[in-house]
Amino acid sequence: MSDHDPIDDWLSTDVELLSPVPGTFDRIHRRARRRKALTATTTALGAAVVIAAAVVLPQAVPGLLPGHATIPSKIVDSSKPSPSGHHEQTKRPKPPAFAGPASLSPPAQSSIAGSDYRPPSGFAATSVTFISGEIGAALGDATGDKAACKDSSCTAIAGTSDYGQSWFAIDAPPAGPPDGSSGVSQVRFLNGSYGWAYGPQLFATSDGGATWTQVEGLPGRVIDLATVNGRAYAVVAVCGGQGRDFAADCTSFALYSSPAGSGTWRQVRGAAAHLPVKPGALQLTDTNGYLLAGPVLYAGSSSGGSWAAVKISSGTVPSCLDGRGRQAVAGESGVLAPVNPGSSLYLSCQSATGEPVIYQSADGGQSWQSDGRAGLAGLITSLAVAPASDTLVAATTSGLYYSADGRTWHQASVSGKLPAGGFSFAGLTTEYQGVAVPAGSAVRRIYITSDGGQTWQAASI
Amino acid sequence: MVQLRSGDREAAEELFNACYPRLAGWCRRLVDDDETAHEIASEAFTRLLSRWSKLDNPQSYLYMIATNLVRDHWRKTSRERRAIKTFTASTPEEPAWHQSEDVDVRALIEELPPKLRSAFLLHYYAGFGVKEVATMLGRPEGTVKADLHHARARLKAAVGEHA
Repeated sequence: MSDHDPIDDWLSTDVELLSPVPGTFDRIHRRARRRKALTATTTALGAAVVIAAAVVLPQAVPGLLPGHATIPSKIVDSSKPSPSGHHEQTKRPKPPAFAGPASLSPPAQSSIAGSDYRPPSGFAATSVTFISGEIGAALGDATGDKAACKDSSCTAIAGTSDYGQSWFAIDAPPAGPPDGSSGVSQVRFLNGSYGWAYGPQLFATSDGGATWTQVEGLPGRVIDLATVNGRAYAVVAVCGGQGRDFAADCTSFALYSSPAGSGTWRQVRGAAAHLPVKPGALQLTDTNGYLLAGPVLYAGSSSGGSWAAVKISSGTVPSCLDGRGRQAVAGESGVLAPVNPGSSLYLSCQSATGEPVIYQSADGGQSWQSDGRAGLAGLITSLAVAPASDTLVAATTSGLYYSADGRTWHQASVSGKLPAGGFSFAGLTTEYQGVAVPAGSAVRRIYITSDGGQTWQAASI
Repeated sequence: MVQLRSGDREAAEELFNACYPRLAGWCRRLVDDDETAHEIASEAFTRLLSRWSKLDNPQSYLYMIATNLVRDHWRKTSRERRAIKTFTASTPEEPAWHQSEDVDVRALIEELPPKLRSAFLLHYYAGFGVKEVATMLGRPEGTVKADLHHARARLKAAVGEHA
């Protein structure tokens, strides 16, 4: 053997210094400040914004069974080839190279904490979520950006640290836009670290979106997801919808839950049935969880444990719910809005052509009251209550509305021309700040309020 | 050791100026690419500054983070290499291109088990003492010494195989 030891040679060679490019420290300092702010951020409820307008048609086909055995899921490295037999995992477009000074490549990924890169120019949001009065993220389709997507379809995520006034690029999961049982269309963050991209596939991040891993093994499409108390809850449904209408024709569902970062998803007992379900049906507060599936309201703790169908014990039965021996009015569907904290609930019931009626419950849905028709024009697509106040906002296919008590409603002022088709979502992150999203499968602007929903200003993503 | 205080931008900049060039150079030696080295060093500093007031030994933290990021980079490039290998294996017409016949120490270190690799890089390459490495990795000093010994032995054996 030779005396020459390449290991020693290598180790004994001095490291050649590599000077930073000008501006590096300022860039690092800015990023660090944003991340530090995020660390202190706690979960804000009622902030999740969904842009989803899938039509749900009740139709009985075999699917998830009530009391279905727990099916353990696993998190897999999204870069690895998918196991055979998982046809949902076959389409794995590359994430976009964001337009910016240079394309990012791991390990310097971009997270919700901030980046110096702009979202692709063709970015069209399909989901927006906020975790505080400043920080949020939007997931959307970047397929229109040829530079970002080249010849394949792809998903992009944008982040904001000024409540939607400006946006930067965040790394996205390696999935395309929704196409039947594949792709993603929605994003949720529990805090600055843990987040999920879903609809219909499911991806998870534990580093603010810098890296994503695919969750496999869930028995259906993930059509809704919400986070609170260090957990994520996902509505896994059997749906027949094709293309972007992945959440249409859902005929059965099961609720799953996972502690953030664990990668283990377990079925929540008592919340599964052969019932239609649609995006936005799952609502969580600090203490309670609610899921509206067809004419049945399910409720349970948002910290774990079993859920159960809520029995209406007395008083009025909302027209879109079954209760006390009476079936829901045919064609009526409901939109839920829980009050956080507490057990108060608002429920809007409406047929496709009728006026909405808004009901109130102070006991988690066991009894309801209503003052009759609310006087809102259009079909209510979203209803939300501000944290720490009684202010409500509603999005309809005709516009945006607000109310101080759930009884008297006023049409809100919206800057510019009202979007065709109205709005698919309105939510309040704080008592005064909120976001509304125009109807449509992909949008390039959202609407922001800073006065509790009375006036809304357009903001481009 | 630089004492970090919350919001102390001056101290942060001082630490940056003192440590960045060596850290980035250290990364370049391991990843063989200037741009990636800058990305890793910048990310390590970002994580350090975002935890500004909570660290007793920022330099150790920097190198620990950089080691993890280098590991991630190696993992990613290894996957890419495997993919390329699989692809080129099916197209034998092209003659294989051979790098230098010299032993690629970086590749050998990359192939070390993660437990041995972190200790090896931090001790032999970043220059931290055994005690400091033990603290950084949360392992007993004796374990770190044994890991270093095993790492060296494995590398020597690997060099023998490649010679």
